[in-house]
Amino acid sequence: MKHDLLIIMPAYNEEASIGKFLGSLKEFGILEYADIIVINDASADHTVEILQMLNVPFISHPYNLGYGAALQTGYKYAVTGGYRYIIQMDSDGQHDACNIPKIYDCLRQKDTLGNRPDLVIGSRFLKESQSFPMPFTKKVAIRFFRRVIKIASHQVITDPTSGLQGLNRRVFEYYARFGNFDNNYPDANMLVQMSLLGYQIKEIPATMHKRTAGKSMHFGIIEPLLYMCIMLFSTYNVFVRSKWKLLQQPIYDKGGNNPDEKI
Amino acid sequence: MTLALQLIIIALGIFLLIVIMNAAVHKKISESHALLWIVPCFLIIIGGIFPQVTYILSDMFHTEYPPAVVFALAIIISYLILFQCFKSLSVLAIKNKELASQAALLTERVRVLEQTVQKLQESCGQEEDGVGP
Repeated sequence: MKHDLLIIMPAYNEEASIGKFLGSLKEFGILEYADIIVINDASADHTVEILQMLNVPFISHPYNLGYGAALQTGYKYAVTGGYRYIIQMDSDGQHDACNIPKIYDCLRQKDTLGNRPDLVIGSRFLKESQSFPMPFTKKVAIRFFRRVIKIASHQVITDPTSGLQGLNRRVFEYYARFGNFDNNYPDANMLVQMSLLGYQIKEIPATMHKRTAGKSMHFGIIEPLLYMCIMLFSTYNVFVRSKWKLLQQPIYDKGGNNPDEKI
Repeated sequence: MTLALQLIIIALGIFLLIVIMNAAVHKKISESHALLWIVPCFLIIIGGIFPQVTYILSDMFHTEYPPAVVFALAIIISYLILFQCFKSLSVLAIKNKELASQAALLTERVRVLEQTVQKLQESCGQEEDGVGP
C-alpha cells in the first residue's frame, strides 16, 4: 500500500477498452495519489496480457464469478491492504477518470454537521452530470428502482444502477464480510441495505460515456427482465431482513462515520 | 372441484410460498433459485382459485380426463426444475475441480518457496558462523 485510496476495476473481456482507460488514469495523474487493482474475472480474451504489458497490478479469478464477486474480491484486498477509501469503476471506459478526484474529495469532505459520507455515487442524472442517451427500457428500470429505494428506505437516489462509487473503509469492510454483499447483482438492494443500516449515502454529478466496445451485463430481453425480477425480490429480502433484525450490524456505531478517527 | 379441496390447494400454495420466501430471507436459497420455485407456487394458487382453468386447458388439448393436464404440467415443471438443479450441479462440480487443481498448484508453489527460503536462511547462517565461503 502506497496511498490511502485504492481504485478497484472489475474486468471481464475488456481487451478493447482497458488499455485506453488505464492510459487516461495516468494522463489525469490519478496514480500519483491512488493505487489501482484490476480484478480479472477469468477473461477469455487478452485482458491479462494487456495488464501484464502495462505493469498494472491485478488479481485473476480461477473462473468467472460475476461482477459482484469481483467487487467483493477487491474489497477484501482493500481490507488486507489497509486502505482508507476505495473508488470502484468499470473498466470498459464508461466512467471518465475525471470523476475520481471529485469522488475522493467528496469522501473526505465534512458536511455542515461535521459528517463525511460513507458512500458516494457518481450519478448520471444530476444537474451537472454529463451522460449519454440511454435506451427507453433502461430509463424505465432506473425510474422503477428509484421509486423502490424511496419506498424501502426513504432515500432519494437518482442513479441506483451506477457502478461508479466511492466507499470509505466503514463500508467496504462491511461489504468484505461473508454474506454482507450481493455478489451477483449489487445495485438497488445494496443501497437500500446500507441506507437502512444508517450509512450516509451521497450523490455527486458524474461524467460518463457510452460503451464503445465489449458487451454489457444486461443485454437482450430476457436478461434485463430477469434482472428486474431478481433485484426487486432481493430488495424486498433486504427490507425484511432489516425489519427482522437479520442484517449484520455496521462495524462502527451509527453516526461514527468518520473513518479517519475510527480506524 | 369441491370448495374444501380448493381451499386446501390455495393454503398449500400459500404455505409453500411462505416457506420459499422465508428461506430466501434467511439466505438459505439464492434469489434466482427461489424465483424458480415461486413461479410454480403461484400456479398452484391460481389453479386453486380458478379450477376452471384445468377444464379450459383440457378442452384446448382435447384431453378426456382433465386432471391429466394438471399432472402433465406438474411433470413438465418438475422436469425443468430438476434440469436446472443438475445443470447447477454440473457447473459446481467443474468449478470445484478447478479450485482443487489451483489449490494443489498453490500448495506446490508455497512448498518450493519455503524450501528456497530455508536454503537461503541456512546459507546466511553459515556465512555468519564463518563456515561459508
